[in-house]
Amino acid sequence: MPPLLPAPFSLVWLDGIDSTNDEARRRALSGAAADCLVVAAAEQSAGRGRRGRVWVSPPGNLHCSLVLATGGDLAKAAQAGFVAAVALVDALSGLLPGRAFAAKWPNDVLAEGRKCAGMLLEPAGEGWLVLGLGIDVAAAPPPDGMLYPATALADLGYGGDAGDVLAAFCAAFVPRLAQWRAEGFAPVRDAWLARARGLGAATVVRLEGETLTGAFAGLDGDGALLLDQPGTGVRRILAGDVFFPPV
Amino acid sequence: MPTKNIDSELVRSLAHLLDETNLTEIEYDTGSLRIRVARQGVPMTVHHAAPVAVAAPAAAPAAAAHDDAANHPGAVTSPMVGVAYMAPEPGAARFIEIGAMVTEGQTLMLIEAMKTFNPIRATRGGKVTRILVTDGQPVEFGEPLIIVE
Repeated sequence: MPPLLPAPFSLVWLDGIDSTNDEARRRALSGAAADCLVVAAAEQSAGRGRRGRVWVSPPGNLHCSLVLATGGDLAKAAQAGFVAAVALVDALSGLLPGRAFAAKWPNDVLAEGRKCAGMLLEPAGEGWLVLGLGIDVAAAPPPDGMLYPATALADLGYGGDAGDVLAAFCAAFVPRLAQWRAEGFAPVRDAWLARARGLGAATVVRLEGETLTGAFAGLDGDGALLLDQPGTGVRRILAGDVFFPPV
Repeated sequence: MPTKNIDSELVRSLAHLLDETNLTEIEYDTGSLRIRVARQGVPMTVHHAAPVAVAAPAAAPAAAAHDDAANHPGAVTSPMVGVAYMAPEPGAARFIEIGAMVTEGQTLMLIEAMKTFNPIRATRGGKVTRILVTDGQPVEFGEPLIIVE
């Protein structure tokens, strides 16, 4: 069911689409989008993840994309993923009290240590950012071929639907978005670090051509992951897949 | 602006700041004056004046080729820090090769930072004469990526 979203959000709720990111971008480029438009679809036929990966998008899960005005500053656009991750950890913690939710760099959300949500951000034209958000509400993807163990909110006892989750996320996102736009990245960074999994702990980062191991030392002022590697010092990671080795 | 009027105190404090913050580059712009202090042997320059041969602290061997490329009229520069990808996904065909003819708006590569994927597009049509980054390479804001002539 399409939910009612708090101002300033507006919602386009579709039965099905190729990818909500693609539809949100089409609307932004054609002038048919305003700041805080949400495009959501019950199903995606071509949901995308990082580097061409498929985002499994069955009915019952939340697939949506937010259109955000960036003022043309792409360097800051990537910070929006941290804003959304903080809001999502808080929203899910409110929906499922007693369950542990955490942020995983750069903008995944973990439920009881397993991935339940991911994001993919893409600029659209000069002034817009599309923030794609997928949340496994009803069903986790089949484990075959998954990079990281996944879970669904329903597996943890959640009885609501995708629309309820979207409404809770938007309610938590409104004040975080306002704070980010008014005060910049510093408070977002602090809030994200307070919710992050594995700060200070052993972390593996898989890059396109190599795999790095070190301690997750924090975030820099852009949101890059700081990986403290024994002997070689702190390395700044701008893109990669993060894993936590079993302790 | 003649060289003798250079505010050496300002340049010195920028160089200190560079060291303190461990940045690779600081650009200071007042509108009429622009000073860029950079590491890796990129010479410190004061625009509208002859280049000043003052090495930044802890300068490494020169990377003059990149500096030239940055000033090239056909240079496409990075709008953000990130990692450069020459193909839409691993194993896929590259967006461009050296010698390719491209049209304005065509996607040349992707830059990813914190899962934000930014397509780098040609700002004008022409021939790709140089590709200055490799697949998976980290790039800085303003770094030249490709020359289109």
